[in-house]
Amino acid sequence: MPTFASADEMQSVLKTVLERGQDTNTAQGLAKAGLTVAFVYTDPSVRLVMDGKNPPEGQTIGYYFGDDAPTPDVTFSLNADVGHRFWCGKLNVPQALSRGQIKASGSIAGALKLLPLMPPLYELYREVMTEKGRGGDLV
Amino acid sequence: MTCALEAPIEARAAVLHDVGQPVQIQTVTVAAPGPGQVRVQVRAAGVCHSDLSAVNGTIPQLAPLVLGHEGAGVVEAVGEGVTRVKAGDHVIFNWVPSCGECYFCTHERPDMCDEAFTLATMGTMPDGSTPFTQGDETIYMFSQTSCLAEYTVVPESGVVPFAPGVPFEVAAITGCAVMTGYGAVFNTAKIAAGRRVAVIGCGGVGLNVIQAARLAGASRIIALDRDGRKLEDARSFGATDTINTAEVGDPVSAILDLTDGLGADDTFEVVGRADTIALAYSLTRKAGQVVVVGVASPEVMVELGAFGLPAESKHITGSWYGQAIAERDLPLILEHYRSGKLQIDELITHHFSLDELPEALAALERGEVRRGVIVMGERA
Repeated sequence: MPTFASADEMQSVLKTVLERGQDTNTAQGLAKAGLTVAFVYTDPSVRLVMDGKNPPEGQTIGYYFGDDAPTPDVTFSLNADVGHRFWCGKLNVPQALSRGQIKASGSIAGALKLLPLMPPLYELYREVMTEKGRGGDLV
Repeated sequence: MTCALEAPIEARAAVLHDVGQPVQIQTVTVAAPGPGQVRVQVRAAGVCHSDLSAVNGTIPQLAPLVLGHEGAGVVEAVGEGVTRVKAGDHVIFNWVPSCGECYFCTHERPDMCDEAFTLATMGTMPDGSTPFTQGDETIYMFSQTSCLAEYTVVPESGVVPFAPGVPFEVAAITGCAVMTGYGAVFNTAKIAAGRRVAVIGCGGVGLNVIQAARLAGASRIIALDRDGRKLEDARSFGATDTINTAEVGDPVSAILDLTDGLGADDTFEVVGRADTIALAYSLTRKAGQVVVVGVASPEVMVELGAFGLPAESKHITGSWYGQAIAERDLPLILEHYRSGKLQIDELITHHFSLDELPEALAALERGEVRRGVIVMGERA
């Protein structure tokens, strides 16, 4: 059974993580790099775009769900369960790229810059999942 | 004797600030070697397609980084706990410094080391450190090596000592171009005498596949390339037949004509493109062997006919760093060099200074060099 039963469920978790994550090194790193990154999940279908290039007023980075979003520099396509493992901080991204668990197009090298900065968002994800009673699903 | 020098030093290095930008030769600070680490004065470094691939993003890397993974030099200082080498030793860099503990390392496949693979992308050594800084900025490593620099710091497992007397430039290219080609033949394909071999791509690594196949006793070595100069090189390294793919309409038919209608026993793809990988598969006889050596970007997909997989039962595999066990293979290759069985001097067609690296990369991209070597300091 997929980790998230619906797109709304997954989107709700990620939205909270990104709301709270505006002051993290991750968001600042994305803004500093001027990167716009898209994650296209399947099962359920969710498209998240994190925009460090032109964030809305008062935000370090923008985040958008769906197709109405800025054009990304790099797009990662992956199953939502693989995404869950990523957000838990338990996915070896270089190996997942090599195995084909993640398909990437665009500036992969640019997006790699974010990886060392991701741990604060991983922590927030774990926190939000636990708050929503999903702590048992963390890996 | 352990002789740790505490002070960081300044050195010139080839710095790639971001993918797609020009490589710059700049001064960086090189840290003192930490525990289990070795600081090496680089004496020669080969210029490899993988460096180009890092520059253009084909091989995703964290930037900024110091380029270089094929080189040799002299140990200048060692950190606490280093036992395998000492200051003054001549060493070749091993760009897959394996952890020795993971599943692959404990099953005789250090080339597949999980840690080395991940760190090759993430640009640090196992302790998360990188020796290079510019002001406050961290500069990442390339495959835990970064030998396109006057000095570098690597894990102890990232160097293999060799006897003085072998020229540094020879040792340098043995560390990647020769090892990768030689290992693809002897470690991965394990080809027997009498095999009929096809090699697609006759650059620095491809020529080493060819001369290793000759050493292994292949009866026919068919070289394929779209550059006539490279095919001439292929002949001088042991190819018995050549096919210019820019001129021959159907290379598969050409191979069938040379192999009694069967196809090659073993085909080595040394380009790293979807079309040449698919071609390698087509050139190979039923139940033959396809070895992919060329490195493509992770986003590249290869299309193969599904019916042929069972119906033709070919073995398809890859060869990463020639499936090297570096401590075993690098000295063995140098033995073959000393005895004249492997031509390594002849691979080096161009010498450059570190300042000339951009020119060396451009010449490589234009296909003008077998191997270009950056020479630093005195030659051995």
